[in-house]
Amino acid sequence: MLEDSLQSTLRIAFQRECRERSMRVRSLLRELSDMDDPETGRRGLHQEFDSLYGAARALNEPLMEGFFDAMRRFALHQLAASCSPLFQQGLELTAALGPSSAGNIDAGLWPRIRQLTDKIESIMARDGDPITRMNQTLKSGDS
Amino acid sequence: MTTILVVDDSATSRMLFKAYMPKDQGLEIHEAEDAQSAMRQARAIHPDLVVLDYNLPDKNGVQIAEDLNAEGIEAKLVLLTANVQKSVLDSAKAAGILTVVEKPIRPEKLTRMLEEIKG
Repeated sequence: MLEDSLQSTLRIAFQRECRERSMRVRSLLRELSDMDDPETGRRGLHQEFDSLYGAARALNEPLMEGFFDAMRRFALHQLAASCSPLFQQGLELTAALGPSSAGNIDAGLWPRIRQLTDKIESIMARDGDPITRMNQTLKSGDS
Repeated sequence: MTTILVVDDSATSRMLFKAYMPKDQGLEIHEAEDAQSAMRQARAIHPDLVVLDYNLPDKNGVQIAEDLNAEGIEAKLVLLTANVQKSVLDSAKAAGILTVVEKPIRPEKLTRMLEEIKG
């Protein structure tokens, strides 16, 4: 069990990271429309959410882990590049996880996170796992 | 004194790693958030142990391990990651990574990692 003070410090660090990475994703989305190779842009989006997934997993926060796992995979989807409403919602929720004056994560976010994760997972289930596809593309590019 | 370089682009993960490492073993922990910073620091501090995340912005942890080997930096290497696909484990082994620790980070996992490295 983490000490309360350490838990609090880690939560603040995680919230700060959510805010910073949501800002970077917004910036990447703005650049994406000018990119010759949108795949590179999508990998950049994927990287930001993958880092949050890793942090959530390191902290053992299953709900966050599931959410950022869905977002990191969705970031590789063509819908993300075209700023689908679902991706935008995910980005807004990520930004909303950032540090607040109250110092806590708004409890009202949890059901929204759960609901959005389910919606994205259903798209991923329908269209296939994009991480597997990305790894296959990288592998064939290596050879 | 054992010098450790932890390479992870998540500040939260680096903070958690440092918090969970034993405090009574004379460990000096340095941090890097990407491959470029990792290589620069490894050349400067000659760490005894490098703990690598897999997914990093510029390279993956296995590629960094390969770069460290190519430069003759003789650190022991550990992969600390949520990504434990067989292909990753195989490439880690081929790159001379001694052990893979799966996230979530737990104190007992890090203690075991240190024991394995010493053994």
